[in-house]
Amino acid sequence: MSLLAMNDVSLSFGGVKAVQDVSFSVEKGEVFSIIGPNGAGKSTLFNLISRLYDCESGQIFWQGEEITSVPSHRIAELGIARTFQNTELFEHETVLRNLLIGKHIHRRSNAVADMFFLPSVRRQELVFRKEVEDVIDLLNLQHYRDQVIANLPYGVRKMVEVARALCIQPKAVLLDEPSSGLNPEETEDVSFWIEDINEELGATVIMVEHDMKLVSQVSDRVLALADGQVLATGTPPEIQQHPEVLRAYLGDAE
Amino acid sequence: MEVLQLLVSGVSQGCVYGLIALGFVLIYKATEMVNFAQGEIMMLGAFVAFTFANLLGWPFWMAVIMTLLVMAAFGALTERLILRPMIGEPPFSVLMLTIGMGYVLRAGAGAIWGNEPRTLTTPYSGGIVDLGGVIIGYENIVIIVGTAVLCLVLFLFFRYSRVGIAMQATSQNQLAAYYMGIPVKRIYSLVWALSAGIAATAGILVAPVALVDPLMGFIGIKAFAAAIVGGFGSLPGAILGGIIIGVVEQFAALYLPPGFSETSAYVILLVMLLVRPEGLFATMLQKKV
Repeated sequence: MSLLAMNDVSLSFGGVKAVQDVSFSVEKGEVFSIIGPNGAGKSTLFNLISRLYDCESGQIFWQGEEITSVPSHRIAELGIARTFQNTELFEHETVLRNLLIGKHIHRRSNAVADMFFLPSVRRQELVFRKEVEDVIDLLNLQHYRDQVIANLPYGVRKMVEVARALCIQPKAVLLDEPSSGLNPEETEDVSFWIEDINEELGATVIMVEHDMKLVSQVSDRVLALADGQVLATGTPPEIQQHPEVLRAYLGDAE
Repeated sequence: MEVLQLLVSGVSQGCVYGLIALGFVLIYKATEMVNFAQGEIMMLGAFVAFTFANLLGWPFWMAVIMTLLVMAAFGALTERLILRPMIGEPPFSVLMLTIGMGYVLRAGAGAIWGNEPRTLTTPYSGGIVDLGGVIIGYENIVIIVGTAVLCLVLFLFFRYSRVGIAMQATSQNQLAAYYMGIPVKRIYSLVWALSAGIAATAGILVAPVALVDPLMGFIGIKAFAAAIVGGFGSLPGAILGGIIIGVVEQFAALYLPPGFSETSAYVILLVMLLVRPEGLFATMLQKKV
């Protein structure tokens, strides 16, 4: 049974078929990349998986269970975390508080106990704080812990968003263009922490990415999309030599 | 002595403005809508309490609890049935809708309870404390203490509780809130319930000193001024803005010619907008380059 399976999923916006009969599956423990030219439907796929958009047809399965019409706030509970291409953080809060909200779904205390900060709540908070600190160490965010997001440079914000996704303790992380807007040095780091997330935390990584160097470094399998349709799926070398993929990127040889 | 006396009645009147302003700010922060029927919701709360405590003769504490529950449910239902279908509509339509809602509530209250002013009698009505010449009615003490307690509870709620923190998260970034597992739509209903509950509390607190009639909700306009003075978006600012307006009104009533007291709220608002347009507690971060 695959961790995530898309089954003939389609969605159009007006006359534009953003995603058309797309099927693929992601196995547990993989690093799975989705590539394609601009407008190929990569981000739309992410938004379908995280239930921001409704599928017009087709089904989505998570661990064998259909999640095609699960409300989007339940996605985190299922163990799917995501980041956004242009980061969606709580801008007026510190890094630490942004990460702690990742623990929302794991909180088990009631409002009254919370408001009196009873010993049980205190213990729970200590556990959360410990787990958050582990993520901070993993992604080297110690220096920024108490800074407000609005004051941080873009590259750091992207890392904070990844860190927040990890605080959910997800089974799968959806990374939407983790290297966009980063300098070459930062992009180099991306491949390291993707491996850390995958190997140390055991999370499946599904990412949309343009940087082919990064994609071939970290991916187990790659899905190539163009005009909302699947061109090919395979290992990074297979995809890079696939004639359909070459045509989509480079155009026809005259 | 006179100054102290004015100060106490000003603060107690200001607390009522502050509580209504708090309702404005809560809804605005969470949903980016302005609910101009906030004053009318307070009025409805006062009538519901009047019905339970005086018409049905329930014990006062029970009437208070039931009023808060009924009004919270009213707030949640309003959000669910009237405001939610408006998602995606221009803010101006939503604004017109809430103004219209205010009219409907005023007319509805008049139809149900009549337009004659009523008085909510409470177990503490009429008592006074003499603090060396400063005479304070029990009602005013209850208003001030009640507001203080409510503020403390709200502070703890937003600072520590799971739902309170989820409300803050939702107000800052809905999309991110969704993917942290926060049911954003349910949070909206809860914010409306909370806001209506606070308005009802204001209604119950002010009813013993003011008359309960369908027009009492008009002080919502002054409360709106208070919210802006406080820096629309800041909860402590709303209370402080309310208190400033309440106190200035009292002093204006005594020391200035007739009429000034009623307009002083708007004078403060204008001065504030000229001098410090972001309000006492600025919540909008300056754009950094």
